[in-house]
Amino acid sequence: MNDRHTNPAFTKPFDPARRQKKFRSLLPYLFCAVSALILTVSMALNRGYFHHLACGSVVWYQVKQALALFALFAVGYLFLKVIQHHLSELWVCMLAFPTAVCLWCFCSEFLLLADFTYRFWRVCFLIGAGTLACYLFRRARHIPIQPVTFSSHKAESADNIISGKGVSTGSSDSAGYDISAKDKCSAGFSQISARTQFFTLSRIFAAAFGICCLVSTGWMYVIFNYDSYYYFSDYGKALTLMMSYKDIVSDNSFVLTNIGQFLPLVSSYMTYFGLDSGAPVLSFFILNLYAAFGTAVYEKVRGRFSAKQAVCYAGCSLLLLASCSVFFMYTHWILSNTYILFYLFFLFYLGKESWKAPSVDRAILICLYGLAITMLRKEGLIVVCFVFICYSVRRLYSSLILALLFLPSAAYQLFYIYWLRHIIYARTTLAFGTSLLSDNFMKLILLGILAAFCYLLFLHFIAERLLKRYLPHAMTLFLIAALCYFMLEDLTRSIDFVDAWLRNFGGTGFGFCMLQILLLLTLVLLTRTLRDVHSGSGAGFSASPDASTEEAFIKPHYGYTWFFVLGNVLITLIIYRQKGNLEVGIDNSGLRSLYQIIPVFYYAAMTAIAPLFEKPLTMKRSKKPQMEDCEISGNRKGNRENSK
Amino acid sequence: MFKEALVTVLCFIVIYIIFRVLLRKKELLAKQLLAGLLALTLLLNIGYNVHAFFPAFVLDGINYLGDASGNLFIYNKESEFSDQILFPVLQNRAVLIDESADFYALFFNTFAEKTTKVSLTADERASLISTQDQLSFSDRFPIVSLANYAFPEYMKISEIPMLYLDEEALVGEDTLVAVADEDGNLYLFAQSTYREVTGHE
Repeated sequence: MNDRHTNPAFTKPFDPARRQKKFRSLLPYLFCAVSALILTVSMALNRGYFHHLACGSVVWYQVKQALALFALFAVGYLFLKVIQHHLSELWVCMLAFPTAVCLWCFCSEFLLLADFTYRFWRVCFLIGAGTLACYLFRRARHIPIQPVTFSSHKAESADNIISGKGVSTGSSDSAGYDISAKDKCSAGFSQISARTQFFTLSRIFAAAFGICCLVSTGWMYVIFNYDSYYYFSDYGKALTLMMSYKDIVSDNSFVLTNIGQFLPLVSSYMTYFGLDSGAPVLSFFILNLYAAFGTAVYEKVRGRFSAKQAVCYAGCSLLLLASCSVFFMYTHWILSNTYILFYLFFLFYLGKESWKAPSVDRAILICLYGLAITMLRKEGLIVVCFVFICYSVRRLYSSLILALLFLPSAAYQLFYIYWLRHIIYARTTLAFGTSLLSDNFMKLILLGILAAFCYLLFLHFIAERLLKRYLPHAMTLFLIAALCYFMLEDLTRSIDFVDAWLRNFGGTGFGFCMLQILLLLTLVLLTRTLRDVHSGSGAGFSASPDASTEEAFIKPHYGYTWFFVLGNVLITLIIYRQKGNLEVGIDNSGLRSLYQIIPVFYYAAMTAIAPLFEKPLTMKRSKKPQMEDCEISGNRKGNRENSK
Repeated sequence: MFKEALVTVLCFIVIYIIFRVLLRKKELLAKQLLAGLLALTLLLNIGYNVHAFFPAFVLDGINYLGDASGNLFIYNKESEFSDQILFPVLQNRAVLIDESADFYALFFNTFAEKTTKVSLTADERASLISTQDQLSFSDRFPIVSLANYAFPEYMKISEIPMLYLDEEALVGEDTLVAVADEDGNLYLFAQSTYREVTGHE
């Protein structure tokens, strides 16, 4: 196999690995073809169900759906390639769609708030201009675009070229070798031919188009209720007709204060293509989340199992998550909480990965997704505040950078409130001072912004010095204390609150997911027992040869992952305890907010309990001290190295 | 509810203690049992989802009505959005608006392909409206959605009008006729029905 260059083509030996590789490379095209076939079949079947009164073509309608989604994916992919630094190609593909949706909504919101006429081509122009600006900035700094390749080795080489370390990675001789900008551009990616890159790109686009075809069949389970229809779908259509917030609000500002503007803007994107609703966008998001969740679990347990076992484990984890009734219900329901759930998982993952290698691309995405959550719901900003505080606990970036990344979310929220109060309210007669603009809520928002900035810029430094690795514990205790304080304020209401919370666990739509969640928590605790069994005194357990995977497992103390999960739950409980509307019933917004964290919880639990499913014989004591033993203090060194 | 919650938590504490001991004594067996328990919850959840969600799924092709007619949302009637009937009906169709339906002219001008004003006599209008029993679809027409965002004057309606139309008769028709009664209820007829009843071309 190694001397294939010396062998004439006709005498090439039989190479099953090569054949398998060739077959694998054809899989995306095959998937695309099968999906297109399914779409065609769905058109034939949907003819019967297609509203017989509509004078439209079912074929053209469904093709438009697929094209609209594919256009979003392509735009997101292009943008991510322009800003890509440390993100792998796989994650560029998986984050392309959510990023494109963000770009569309931000540009639309900019046009509407700046009182420009809201038109499709104007939004496209803004997205294009933004992407071009990023590209020109990159070019001005002589940073070449990363090659389109899934090969980690090649990508790593390219990464080193970008950072100016030279082509041959790992070599101490070349590590300090600085190559000129010209070399970076010309010789840099010569090892990956344009042809190879083109075929990789075509495979990516084929797979993406296949998914677009699948979600355009109209067979994905989507739940519509009153809010989905009138506040998101219909209001989005109205935006495309009126093309301005000022005209649409007229005498009634309810739609601007009571709902987030993100989802109607997603719906308006589909309306510009002549489509009914944003349901296909949600379906794409669902598949995107499944892929991201599976990949994230796979990456985390890869060092512990063989490749096939890791794939099986990730598949089982995905199955557990997908079958969780609450998750299933809330992810298929067109509501803002659903999109927060998606973006929260991506934010968590980006935070987790930034710990290994802080990079510009991840920082930009963190900023974008934070802004998306702020736009999605009224209390979105409070969740974002918590996420950034969580990042600071993990020391992903310096406090100043985190404050800068948080700034767009805070600035947007403050400007939006200012704009409503001083520009919109001045001209409305039926202005509703409800929801977002109620005094209590505005105080909460301002308090959240101030607290986040104060903490990030001043308090974190002191808190970290004082508490060291017990910082997440202290913060959790603080949140629990805050919750208890608010509960004790009005005991009767608090009992109703807890009663509703408990009743919901056994209510309709929850199935057996609470049993599953409790069982997973028990397993997480049992994993610690297992570590004790293998390490005798309880220290130095390592079942994996790869030290970096240790980070996934439950620690003697608890760190970023579990703080992210528990903190989110506590923050939501505090918000809804203050708003006072945690009620019995699946459509209660407090309850929906509570379950936004489900994918992160499943990720944390499934990666933590991985040692339970290892063969006992493969477990051995770690000879070296646990580098990852401390998630907070241990990462300082790694971070410093990465920063260099 | 508090009792049930307490019992559940206690059960899991007992499970934790049992498996803690078992893991120390018979690790492999404990692991197999734990995996089995997890698989059991997975199966239970799948069973529940099949039972609770899929009957609710109404395959309505591209309109995505996987919603309210099933077990979970049985208590609400939110799936019956009159707009979902009206907008496809108006799309690519011309509407002849009778004087009586002038109030809705703005709405039709926005959503129909073309609108023309017509003038029916009181008798003609009455005879058309008298066919309302034959109209297959009738629902409240709250105009709370698109029309509400776009045209605030509709918010001033104190009583929610009804919308009547005959779905079967409208199939294949390019032109519709809109008539309203004194209470503001809206009737949409196919042009063929209009011709039959009034004798107009």
